[in-house]
Amino acid sequence: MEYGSNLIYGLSIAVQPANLLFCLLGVLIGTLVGVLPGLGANAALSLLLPITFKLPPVSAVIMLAGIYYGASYGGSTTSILVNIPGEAASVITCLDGHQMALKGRAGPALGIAAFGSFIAGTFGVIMLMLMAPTLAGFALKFGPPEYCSLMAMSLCLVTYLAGESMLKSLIMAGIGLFLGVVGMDSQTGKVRFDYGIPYFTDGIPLVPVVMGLFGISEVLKDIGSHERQSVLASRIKGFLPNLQDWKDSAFPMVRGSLIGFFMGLIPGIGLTTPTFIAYGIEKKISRHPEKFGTGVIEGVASPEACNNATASGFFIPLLSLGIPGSAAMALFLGALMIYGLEPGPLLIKNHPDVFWGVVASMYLGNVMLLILNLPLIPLWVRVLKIPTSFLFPWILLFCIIGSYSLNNRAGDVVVMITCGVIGYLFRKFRYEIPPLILAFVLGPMLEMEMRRSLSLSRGSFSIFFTRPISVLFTLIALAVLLTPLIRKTVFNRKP
Amino acid sequence: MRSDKVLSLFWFLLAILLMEESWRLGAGGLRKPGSGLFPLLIGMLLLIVSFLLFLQTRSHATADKEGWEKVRVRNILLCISSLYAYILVLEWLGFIASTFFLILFLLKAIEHKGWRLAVTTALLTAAVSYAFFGIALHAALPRGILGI
Repeated sequence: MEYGSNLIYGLSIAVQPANLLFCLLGVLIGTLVGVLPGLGANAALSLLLPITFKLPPVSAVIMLAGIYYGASYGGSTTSILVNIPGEAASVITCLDGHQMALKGRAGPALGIAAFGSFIAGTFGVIMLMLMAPTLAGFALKFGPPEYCSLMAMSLCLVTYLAGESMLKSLIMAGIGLFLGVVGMDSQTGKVRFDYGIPYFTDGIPLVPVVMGLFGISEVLKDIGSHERQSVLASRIKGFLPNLQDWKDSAFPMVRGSLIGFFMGLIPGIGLTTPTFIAYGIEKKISRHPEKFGTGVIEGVASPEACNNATASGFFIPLLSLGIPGSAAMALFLGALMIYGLEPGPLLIKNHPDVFWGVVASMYLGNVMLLILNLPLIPLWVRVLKIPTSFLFPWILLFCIIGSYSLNNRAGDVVVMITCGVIGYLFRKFRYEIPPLILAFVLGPMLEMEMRRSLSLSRGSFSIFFTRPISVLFTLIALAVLLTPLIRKTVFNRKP
Repeated sequence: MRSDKVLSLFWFLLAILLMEESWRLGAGGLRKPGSGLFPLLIGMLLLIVSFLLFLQTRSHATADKEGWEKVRVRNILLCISSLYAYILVLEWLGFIASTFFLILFLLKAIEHKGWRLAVTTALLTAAVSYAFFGIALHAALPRGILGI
């Protein structure tokens, strides 16, 4: 019953006119950015983060969450209509979604994507509501060694799952940790790695870094490419799936939701992997696996439900432990700190308005997406037709204004542009950016908890191996780090 | 790939620099960690990983194919320099004028749009973005010597 009254409390916050408006704005802007090819949820969050800084914390988090799942929804729209995934999480939707569009069934594909996202989102929100407070209660028992090893485990998992080369991802994590230590050491007051530049005394700010790494680098990639993205939108009629579509999609949606949600709890899993797994499972258990890829509705329903449920799963470690499991959640964590909220197990207790307000608004946001976005699809198709040659100067300008208006410092913009160049080079040389962002955000906390742990143990690292919860996290972290090495030496011996 | 090898050397050097600077900051002891301890550990991580990356690249020596020949480097360089130039003149020239010139430059130099279209788009972008961010959202955008 407690959950019921908490949810009602959350709803009472979420339905306040201002919060409803910010939720709606977040969902709409998120969808708009998600629809634009190439700009996914991370870019959407980075670009729009500064807008939320002037709002009260609850409204800001509600808007940010709206941007996040709006962007994820927008990504599916472009996958289905024009075979361009708005973000990596909707790559798999292209396979059957676009085939359905080519067969004149874009409407039902978009409809089932929206309904699937809604159902999975609802399931995810209910699970979030049930699990996060319990987990937070459990996490209150955590001391510095537990937190330190938990953060190390999250970082290791993110680097392990990030991309093709774990070593490159580890380099990225190292760079992120390094960027996090620049500036004044809060414990000793010493200024580190500022090289005499006063700008760095307060540390490197998060927003210009993420705007550069995700926003500017994306534009550079586009203008540097010979194959500019062009769009041919098909005509759409009727968004409602028929009875047969519903019959075919019901179980795939349920399975997609379950797979997505539970995989979302694993730090670093990302949005893409669960969708591939969900699609693979549907294909495997289908009576007509050969039809997958030719435009079957199950191939849209399952991954779409899955990516929405995964996104809800991501929020659990973030809101209950203060530990982000992905780059987007790291941005959320950074935003929470900028809003003056202290993420961690006490967030739910100290700021119930934020937690329950956001949970309830996520539910409302899903309803908004469903009601608003289907009729708005023709508008999104028009957005897709805006030539990229006009879009890119606007995105650049948006990034500049966003980072400049944070503190009215030209230095922030210089950092952003420089990070954009570096981010472009990272992409070019196949270095994954998410581990860097996660390490950058977690770095200062990791350092603080490590120092506290070492003070507790009087300088012995054994503290991480003697406390049961900490040893579990440490062992997982070590296993993740060593797995590729073992696999390589044991299984990859070439004659 | 050759670039991977060169980059691993770069990371290796960066790690050494980082460790040297951390040492200078004072690593302290494990009982009482100093400001330099954590960065020193990061440096050690980078050192080991870059060394492993170097070894791995050597054992996988394949064709040097980074796909740079497919990249319009000119566009990227023009874009980056125009952005740096923009931020250099922004506070002196003011938001509206610098934004107008930035958009005009990007549309002419990179997108090769016609003068009329480029000028109109640049004017509209500068005006609308000022109205939205500067007036509606009260962002403090620099006015510059022109006072607008």
